[in-house]
Amino acid sequence: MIKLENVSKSYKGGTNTAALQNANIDIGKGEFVFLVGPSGSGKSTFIRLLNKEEDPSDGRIFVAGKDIGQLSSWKVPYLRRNIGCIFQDFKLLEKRTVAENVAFALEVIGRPRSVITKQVPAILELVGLADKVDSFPTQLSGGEQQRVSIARAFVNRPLILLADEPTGNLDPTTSVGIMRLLDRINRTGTTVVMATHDRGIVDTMRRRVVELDKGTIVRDQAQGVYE
Amino acid sequence: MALKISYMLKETGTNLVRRISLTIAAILTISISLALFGSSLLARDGVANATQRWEGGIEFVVWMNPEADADQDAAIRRSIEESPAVASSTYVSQEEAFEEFREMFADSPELIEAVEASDLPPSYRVVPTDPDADVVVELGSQFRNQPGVRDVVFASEAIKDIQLQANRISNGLLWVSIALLIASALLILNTIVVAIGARRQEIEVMKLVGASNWFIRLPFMLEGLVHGLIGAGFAVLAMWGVRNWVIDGFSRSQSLALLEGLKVNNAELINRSLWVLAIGVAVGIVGSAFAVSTKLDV
Ligand SMILES: Nc1ncnc2c1ncn2[C@@H]1O[C@H](COP(=O)(O)OP(=O)(O)OP(=O)(O)O)[C@@H](O)[C@H]1O
Ligand SMILES: [Mg+2]
Repeated sequence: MIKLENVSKSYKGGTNTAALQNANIDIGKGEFVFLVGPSGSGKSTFIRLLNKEEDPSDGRIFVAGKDIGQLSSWKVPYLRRNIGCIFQDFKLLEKRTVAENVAFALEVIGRPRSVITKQVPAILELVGLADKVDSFPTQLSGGEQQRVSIARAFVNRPLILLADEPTGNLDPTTSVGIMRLLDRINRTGTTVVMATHDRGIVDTMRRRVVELDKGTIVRDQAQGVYE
Repeated sequence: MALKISYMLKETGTNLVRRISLTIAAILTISISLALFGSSLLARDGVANATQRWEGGIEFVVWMNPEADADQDAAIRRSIEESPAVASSTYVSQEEAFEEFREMFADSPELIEAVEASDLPPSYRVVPTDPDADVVVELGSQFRNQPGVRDVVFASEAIKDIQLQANRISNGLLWVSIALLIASALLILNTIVVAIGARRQEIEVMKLVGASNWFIRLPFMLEGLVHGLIGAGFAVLAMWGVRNWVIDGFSRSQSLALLEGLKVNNAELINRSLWVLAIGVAVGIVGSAFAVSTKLDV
């Protein structure tokens, strides 16, 4: 599903050392992969390369069998429709309600109104927010906001879900709830790549762990632990 | 698709209303600059029409009486053709005069209806060898009291002067309006940049979930287009006002005989209005396209 071949990334005007160095990895369909490593080791860079928010300085990246380096810019949106993204800071639109935030993701890719009115309530039910559809993000707890952002990322049934420290702003109990949800999404066949600093989560879930250090993959372990 | 179009219009509408003061500023600037631009074009047309009969180097016109007999006509013709002070001359028959009349009053068919070729005087258009005003007046005056001649009219220095001044004014207007047009394009650009800034989060999410580039860009482009179009609309209204009250007012004023011919017909006005609309649209699109291409990279 995801394949990196000798991928390196240095930022223009950044430090001399590369954010990612000669990375090689193969992630199959339906896998759940944790990206771990100290701050600045290149986890976010790895994730941004996958949905083409950034382009590699070197090497090739394949998503669903396609070399995304060859993708013309007007096709990039179609790549992104197959990739859901969630973040530490949720990126919800404050002036829109929960339901509107989720509907927005479908509206802007031209889904018909009939599909939107069916799928939005269904996905909000799935993430456990059926009773909050008309609330605004500011009226929700952090955990609830992250559920909205998961609903938005997943409503279009993407093949891949990228999560950059999705529990970074949440307390441990709330984090467990979010991880249950991601696990459920993964069981539907969605490939999940999640960058995290959360030792507890990685150690309890026992999934594949890829460790980065100063931009280099230093460990790739099935059913791994944080350290 | 229907959803997309309604979405675009809704977004564009909200953008316009949310920053109403910027919208008004942009529309006002473009209206004023296009109104000036259009008026300068109209002034040009008006002056060209007023001085049309003086073009081609004609320095004075000997108007004959329509009733003048063949002998009288032949005498005048001979003295014009034989005069060493005349470089060239053209005879405009009643039919030709009527043809010109029909062109000049193309938009007033009732006037053309009321006039026949035989009502119009034939004329000689004369170019003297020496263009000095005094010599021209001297030469022309010789014909004034001859039998069969109704009047002699000069393209005197005064008319040339007016033509020159009028062109100077309309050129000045043109340059001022072009400067203002550039200002409007920049104002539209900045308005769109502000609009894009205000929707940063929405745009980020749109990119994230895979909205196509044109879907993200179009509402902003439309916003610029609306600025240009509404601005041009007001400018066109102003141009009709200029034609109906200012230019027509001049040509009605009895005191200034020279300005009688100053007129702009409907065909010219429509032509200039279309130009102004096209330029308004172009300025709106250029301004917003520039904002979008610099601020909305994928
Ligand atoms: N946009 C950028 N421009 C320049 N340098 C950048 C940019 N983004 C990241 N970097 C640099 O690239 C390196 C890797 O950053 P990255 O954000 O991928 O690390 P990370 O593992 O996600 O860190 P954290 O755990 O703190 O989120 C760092 O040295 C960082 O300074
Ligand atoms: Mg990071």
